[in-house]
Amino acid sequence: MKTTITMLPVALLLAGFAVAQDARPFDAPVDSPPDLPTAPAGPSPVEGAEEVLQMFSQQPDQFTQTGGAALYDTSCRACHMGEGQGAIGAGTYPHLAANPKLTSKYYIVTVLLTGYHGMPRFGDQMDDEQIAAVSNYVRTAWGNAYPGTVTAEDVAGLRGKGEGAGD
Amino acid sequence: MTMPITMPTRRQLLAMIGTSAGSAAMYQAMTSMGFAATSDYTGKPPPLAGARNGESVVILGAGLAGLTAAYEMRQAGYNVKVLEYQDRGGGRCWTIKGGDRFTELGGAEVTCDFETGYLNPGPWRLPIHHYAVFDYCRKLGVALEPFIMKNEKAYLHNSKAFGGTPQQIGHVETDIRGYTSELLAKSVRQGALDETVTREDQERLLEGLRGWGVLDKDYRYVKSDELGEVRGWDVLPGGGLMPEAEPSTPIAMSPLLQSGLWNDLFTFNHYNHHPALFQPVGGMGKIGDAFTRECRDLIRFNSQVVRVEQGENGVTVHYRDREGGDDILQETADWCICTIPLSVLAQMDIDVSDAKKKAIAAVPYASAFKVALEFKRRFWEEDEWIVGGISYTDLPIVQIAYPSHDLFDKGPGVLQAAYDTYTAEKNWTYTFNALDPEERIIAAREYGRRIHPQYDAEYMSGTSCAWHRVPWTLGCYGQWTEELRAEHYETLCEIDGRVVLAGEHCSHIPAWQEGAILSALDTIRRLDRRVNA
Ligand SMILES: Cc1cc2nc3c(=O)[nH]c(=O)nc-3n(C[C@H](O)[C@H](O)[C@H](O)COP(=O)(O)OP(=O)(O)OC[C@H]3O[C@@H](n4cnc5c(N)ncnc54)[C@H](O)[C@@H]3O)c2cc1C
Repeated sequence: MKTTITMLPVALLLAGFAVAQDARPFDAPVDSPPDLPTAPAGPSPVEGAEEVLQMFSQQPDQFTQTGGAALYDTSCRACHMGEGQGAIGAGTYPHLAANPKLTSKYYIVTVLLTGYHGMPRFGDQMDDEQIAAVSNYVRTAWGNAYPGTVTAEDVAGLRGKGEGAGD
Repeated sequence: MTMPITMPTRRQLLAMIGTSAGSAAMYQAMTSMGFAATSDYTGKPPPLAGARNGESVVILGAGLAGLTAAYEMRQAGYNVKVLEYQDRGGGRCWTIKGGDRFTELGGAEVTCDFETGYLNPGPWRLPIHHYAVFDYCRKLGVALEPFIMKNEKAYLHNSKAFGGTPQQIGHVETDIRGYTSELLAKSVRQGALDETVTREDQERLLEGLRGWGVLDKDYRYVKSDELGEVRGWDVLPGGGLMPEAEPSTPIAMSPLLQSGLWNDLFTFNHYNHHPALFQPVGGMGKIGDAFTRECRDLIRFNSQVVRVEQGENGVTVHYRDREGGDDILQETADWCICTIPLSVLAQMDIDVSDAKKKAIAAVPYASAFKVALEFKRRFWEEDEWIVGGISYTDLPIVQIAYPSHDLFDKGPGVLQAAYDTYTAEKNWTYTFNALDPEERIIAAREYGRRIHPQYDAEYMSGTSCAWHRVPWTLGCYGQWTEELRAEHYETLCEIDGRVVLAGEHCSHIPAWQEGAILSALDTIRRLDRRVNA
């Protein structure tokens, strides 16, 4: 039963339901341990699913992406947006494109590690390499060309200092 | 801002609860672990001495905190004015229905084309001990109906266990209770507890375990008719000459333990999730609507506050009419209650002490998201007999909630197909916020079809809310930690000259509407006392 169902998930599920109903009208068909297919076979009808799912980390408690762009797109982009342009509503999300605060490479690392104002910290979710990668991405993307490179050692040095970037 | 790397035990515990039981479980844990003080809400709003000299108060923000304050202070004779950024009242208490459109930060338009049903993008359930919420629902005529939190037929799903097949909540719970009872009985009978439990108590314990765990005469947890009555049947007892009933078979212990599904049950233990829970008929937004109706003549909509100035004799609030160009308008009053979320307030020019400014700037705002999908039919009810309740999964959608309303309807139905907040510390909440509206729907459909394959044939349309893209909150709620609270909470809540803050962020019930309302009630009590000192 299980294999067939996996091949033709919906149709069989519905068919199974109809049969059960004919035979025993008051029987709830899934009262027995569910034999429901979980990964429907065949191509997904959801267009674009593959690319979208690639955006997600493989683990919930630690980003598994390693490249700066990928890390940016799965987290920072939520607020600072695709082109680092930030956003303005009742409050604002700072633009990262052409933002002179990025001149200091330590500034962004500290903000990422500890958070700043309403921005949550990312120090728990990214390791030193990842913080360095995303920092370097932000400092060089969208026409940014701030000098110097953030290394994992830089991040390690700042981690645990317990100093916020804030006022 | 100090962020120690080694967390105290309570925080570790909370993180554990978060990962295993989900975000909402965390809120409750935070409350029960002493982040909370007992509320002294008596079932009535505080008696206010009132505005003896016709004092005026300007309230910033028309969410539940702002409107509770407005409603009560007007009754006490204050001259009240509310400034609200949006063109609607209610704030986070909000419902999205078919035909609704809104522009999120980043410029994307979120659409909702549902034929039936709705999405509560924020608050969606009310535990019975949130007395103040219920009192205002009563007072303002908001109709309530049961919200089904736990449904034994809904699923616990681990994509890496049981070949990805979801397991029924009732099965996991009955089996875990059975196996732990069996193991405990075994320990007792082998004398392992002789030093800690007296003979007499051991007898009582064994007797109890047999009933509680549904153990057989040898204290084993096995398939039996007796267990069928508790765990359910492969063939249900029928009528006439229908086939003989056949009890269901327990899941084997080791795979059950290895699956970790047991951990997910914890969410149902939380006080905030105890049945019966409730929801307003027609969506949570009905509460905000009712408050807005009561206070409409006090509210100036589309008014973006940009500066709060105070002097010895009063407050001047500078704001911009969002439809009226860049001119800065002013509203003066004797007192000011500010309920603007801290994420926004931290960027604003506000005349308060440095300590209070630090407190305002100290609280990060949690990420959260929801996606709702409409389907041509309520297949979860028709095919799987899941009528209300929530399934939990290890996939990034985290949970699928089945509507508690319009039950057994024939037409289309809407699932809350994805929901999480960062309280549970899963990075996928950021990712959902980073996706565009259409991409969020794609993700919810793709993950959800692994639990409900009917998605493919029945899908109609979807909508979503990514709270970090909501222009007027920049996040879901103030994510206090124990350390931050110790350092800043009192300062944040204290009256500062003629300005005082209120809102869920000024409460020990973060991310619950009760917190917003109790904060407002406590704030107006203290303010009224100050006015009449
Ligand atoms: C995902 C999610 C799930 C939740 N689940 C539940 C639940 O199940 N049950 C429950 O009881 N609670 C729940 N909550 C919590 C509940 O929504 C909040 O605690 C409550 O609504 C907060 O009310 P408030 O008045 O403090 O803030 P808000 O409702 O945010 O009100 C603040 C108001 O200030 C306005 N504003 C912002 N900036 C400005 C400005 N510059 N000028 C003028 N006005 C401004 C905003 O537009 C808004 O209307 C949930 C919240 C979220 C986000």
